[in-house]
Amino acid sequence: MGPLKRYSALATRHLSQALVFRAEVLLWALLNFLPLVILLLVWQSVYAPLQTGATVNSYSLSALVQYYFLGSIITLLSGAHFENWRVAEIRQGKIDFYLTRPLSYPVEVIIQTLSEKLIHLGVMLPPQLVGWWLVSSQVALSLPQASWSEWLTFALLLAYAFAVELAIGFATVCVGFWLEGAEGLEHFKWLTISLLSGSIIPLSFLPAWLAVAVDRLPFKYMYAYPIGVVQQTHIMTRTDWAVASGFLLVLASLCALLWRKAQLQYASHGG
Amino acid sequence: MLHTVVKRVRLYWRLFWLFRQLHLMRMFEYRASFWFWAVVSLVWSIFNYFFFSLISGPGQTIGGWTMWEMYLLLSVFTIIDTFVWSFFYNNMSVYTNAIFSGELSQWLLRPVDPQFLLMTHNNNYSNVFRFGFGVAMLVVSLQQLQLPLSFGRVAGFTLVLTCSLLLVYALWFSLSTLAFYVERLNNLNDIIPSLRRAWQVPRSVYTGVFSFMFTVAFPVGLAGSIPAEYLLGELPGRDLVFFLAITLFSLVFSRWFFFFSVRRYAGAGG
Repeated sequence: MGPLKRYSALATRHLSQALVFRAEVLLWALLNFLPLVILLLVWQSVYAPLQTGATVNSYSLSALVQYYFLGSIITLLSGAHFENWRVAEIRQGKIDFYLTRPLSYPVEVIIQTLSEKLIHLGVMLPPQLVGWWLVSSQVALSLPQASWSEWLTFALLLAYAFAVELAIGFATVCVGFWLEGAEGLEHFKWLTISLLSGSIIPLSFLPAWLAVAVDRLPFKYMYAYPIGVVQQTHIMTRTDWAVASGFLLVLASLCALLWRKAQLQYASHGG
Repeated sequence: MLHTVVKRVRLYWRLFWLFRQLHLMRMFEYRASFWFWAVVSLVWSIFNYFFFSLISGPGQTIGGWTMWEMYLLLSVFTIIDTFVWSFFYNNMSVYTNAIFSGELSQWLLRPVDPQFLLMTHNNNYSNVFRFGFGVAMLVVSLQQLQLPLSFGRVAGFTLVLTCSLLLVYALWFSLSTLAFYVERLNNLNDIIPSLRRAWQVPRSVYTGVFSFMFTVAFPVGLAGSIPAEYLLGELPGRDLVFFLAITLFSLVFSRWFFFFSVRRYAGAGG
């Protein structure tokens, strides 16, 4: 069986497993959406005492709502949440299957995460869009008027955000070969991305000292810049693309190095 | 009769503190894990204050609440959050997993109230610094807002905060009891944790249908706001009565719903 056939069989298996628990997936769609609705109500209350059309840190309420709408799409399609159970499966010695068969564990992680994203696209995205449509009557949501090239840039940066999440997640999983409780490191991933990518608040709201740090780091290309491109507040220059690509290369190299070292650490027992 | 009641209360009191002792021993055995999660919980608490300070900047209010009033509310939230992660989450997880796996039988067959056992047997201490931080920020916020504190006010706040904890617990327990009616829904226990933002913000933020949803139908929006409003001296008497009534109703309902649902339960072997 060639590698393509092997891994596509694996992807099919992951897809069918994910679809068995459709109710869970739909509930996650709701649970991811409700906190966002509350956050929008908070912003609505901030703008309520101000004049119609007033801006706060150069964002009007409708631009801010649009920002969170686009951010929710990025979160849904790029988030990776496998650290918890992957680290547990390594600590319990359950990855022998991948080390003794012609299946690469890192590739399996990528395929499983991509399958999960496909499920998010097909099962979670439509209800989330319906949710946004329902709340659009309560909050001022308008769709961005972006050109096809801006949407293409958005799509490419979406892929970048996914790759960064995947790489950091896999690096965390590799640390699990040495450290018990390594899955807790995913909290630091969430904190870092929340603070430095613009996922929880546009960058113009950050204090000056943090804005300087954010500007020098490549996490802004995960949320702030793709949303900014579509909202026509940012442009991706060649330098930006070079920095983003370089960061991905560094992460990929780190993952490869960690995986190589990690395999030497691994020990399991039984059959 | 009174003697039996006193004996039962003593038994539950002794059991409660025995469970705490066991988990304290466990904490000393896994010290690295304790320190790691203590740092994580503290960092998240600080992050919450930082995030809302970005929103409620100069001249901006959230639902009419100024920055220091928001910090007061966030302190109440932090204290509630301590109990959410120290007590509620692990116990609710064990409860729902026991229903799904058929292992609830071992909890039902003990000569102790099963709800008490399910809800008190587990806890962790890694949120102790989060609690300390929440209390410290509460004191600082009260000083900044120049709010007078009297013994009566502190006692009243403690009572209202306890009601908030009981409300969150009752709503969560009722939701977890739905596990009897579904085949498998592993994230049933994640509904309340996902809704924590609802009591992180003032209830004045909720308008229209959301106001009904978060303050009446599923009143999680009251859990943080009511104790904070009490401290600010801005809580109308009828709202306090409503809050106490809805807490009592939720507690009674959650217990009734549990015993009603247990009749549907079929364990998995011995």
